Amino acid sequence: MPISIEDLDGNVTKVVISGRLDIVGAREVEMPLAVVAGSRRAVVIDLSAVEFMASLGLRGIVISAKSIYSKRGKVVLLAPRPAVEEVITTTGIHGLIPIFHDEALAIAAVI
Amino acid sequence: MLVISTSAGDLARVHPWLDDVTRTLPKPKIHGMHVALEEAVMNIAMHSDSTELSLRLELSPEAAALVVEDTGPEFNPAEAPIVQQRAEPGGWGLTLLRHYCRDIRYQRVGARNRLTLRFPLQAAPEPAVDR
Repeated sequence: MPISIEDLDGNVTKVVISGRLDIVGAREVEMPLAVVAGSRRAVVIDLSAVEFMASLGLRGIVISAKSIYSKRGKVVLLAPRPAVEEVITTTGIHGLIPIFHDEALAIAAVI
Repeated sequence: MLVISTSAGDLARVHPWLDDVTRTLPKPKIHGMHVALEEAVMNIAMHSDSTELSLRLELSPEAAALVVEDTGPEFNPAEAPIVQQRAEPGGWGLTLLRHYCRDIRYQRVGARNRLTLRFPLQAAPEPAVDR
């Protein structure tokens, strides 16, 4: 499974996604992400190991983020590679889910 | 040439096919081709009633052209209006398609849509500077 979930101090949940979030990978992470979004309020999604993402992968992340926001929670994206960050900024999603490149700052932003 | 249905199992073959046919191309050129092709294919799979897709790559020294054909109703993604809704998935696909492929050509050929996504393989010449 290209997704792992870690509980950090301060009730922060770090979701680490890895590999290709393409037509196949996007489907594999959608359900685990939805489960996290349904039960957690402070979420850092670590994208540093994601090699590829297009709108299908983005869709799962945004649906989860909207679910977290609807419960007054917070979610941020951590350290996307340049190619993945270009997809995020081209679609304007960074205006909805902030991007951080420093883990301490990302965690502080969701507490 | 790859001919597939729009089933999940067949769509999973799109990226491996592109990896295979672009293995001789420079790596930096390939990422944008993967994004654009995924957007073109998923747009057909999710929004058209086409049941068949064909993909092929045409290579010349100047450009790589991905030709995507489907049997759905007429739809030109190069000119369709983009509904900008930042928090909704709709619109991202066309935005990304047009960002990563600046040369999109559409033809209706009989009962098929033919989309040609052209990617230059050589760097654009530096603009002339008057001195």
